[in-house]
Amino acid sequence: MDTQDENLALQAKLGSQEAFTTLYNQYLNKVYSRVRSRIPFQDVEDVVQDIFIAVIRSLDGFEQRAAFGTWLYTIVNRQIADFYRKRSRTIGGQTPTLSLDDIERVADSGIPDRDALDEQAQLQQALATLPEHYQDVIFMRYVDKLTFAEIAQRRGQTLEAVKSLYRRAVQSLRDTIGEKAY
Amino acid sequence: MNVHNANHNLPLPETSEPDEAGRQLDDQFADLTDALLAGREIRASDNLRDLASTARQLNRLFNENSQPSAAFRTRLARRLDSEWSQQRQERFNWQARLRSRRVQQWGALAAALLVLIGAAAVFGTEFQTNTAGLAGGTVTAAFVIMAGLFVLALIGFGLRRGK
Repeated sequence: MDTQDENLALQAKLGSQEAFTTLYNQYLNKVYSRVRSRIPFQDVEDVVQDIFIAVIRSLDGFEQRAAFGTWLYTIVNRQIADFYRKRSRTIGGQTPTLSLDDIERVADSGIPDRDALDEQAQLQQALATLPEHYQDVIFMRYVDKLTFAEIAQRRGQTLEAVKSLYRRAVQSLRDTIGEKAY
Repeated sequence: MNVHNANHNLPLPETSEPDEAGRQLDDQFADLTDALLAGREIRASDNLRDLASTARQLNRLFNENSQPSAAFRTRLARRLDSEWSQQRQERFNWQARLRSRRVQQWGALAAALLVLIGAAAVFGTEFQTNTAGLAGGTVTAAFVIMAGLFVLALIGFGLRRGK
């Protein structure tokens, strides 16, 4: 557990805005990247904003014995689930994906090409259907940039077990993409 | 879940104890991922070609367009700043309300009444069981009544001082 983050969270809980800002700067890119990989492009900013507002409102409930990252990602997952719950109420429960508008808009902005966006959309959908422990190990390696040894430490598993979990996760992702393609 | 490696046809273990062949693949794939994330490209063996391709896709998904824009950062920082101030203000108001003399007095009144009701319940029962001609019953009843009057007097005094 990174005790520095927990100490900052505790200071923020006691009213230090500076401590909160340090945590926010530290985690913004990671949170954004996690949300970006699971939410349609046009909604990412709203969801990220909702997450950090929820963090401010929930700080009183943070207990120092928990890892700050774990606590934060619980809020991230809850907000993403809320997003899809609200969305399914308004449009009748479609699968999370990039809409045609997203694809047009991002393509117009000249960033990735259309094929790349289709590929991203597929991957995004498949990722969203993976079990949580598979998603976690992928996020920890690709978004948080933790080494496998660090992931093992965080998860309380052996290095071998984590490498195995990671390969199973990617294999499962690949199988899911394969199933959707046919 | 029965997941199989398409190329090697090796069952991927769900337990945390993979066999030797599986362990080697795990190590190779982990090394390949490390290299990919470090910006190096290493040649994947036939067994891992499909997985390596998915790892590259993942790397693209998380790298391309996955950082917040400067405009969004500024907007978000401003919004969070205002949310922080609002939360602080609400908390301050709530604490101020809790500290107000009126709330403290009503709190003291409620607490005293609870104590009184509790005492009456405990001693009242004792009083009923002890009244069969024994002096103890009268003493207990007198104590409850006196304690009640004392608490009421304290509350009255407190309320008058608060005005």
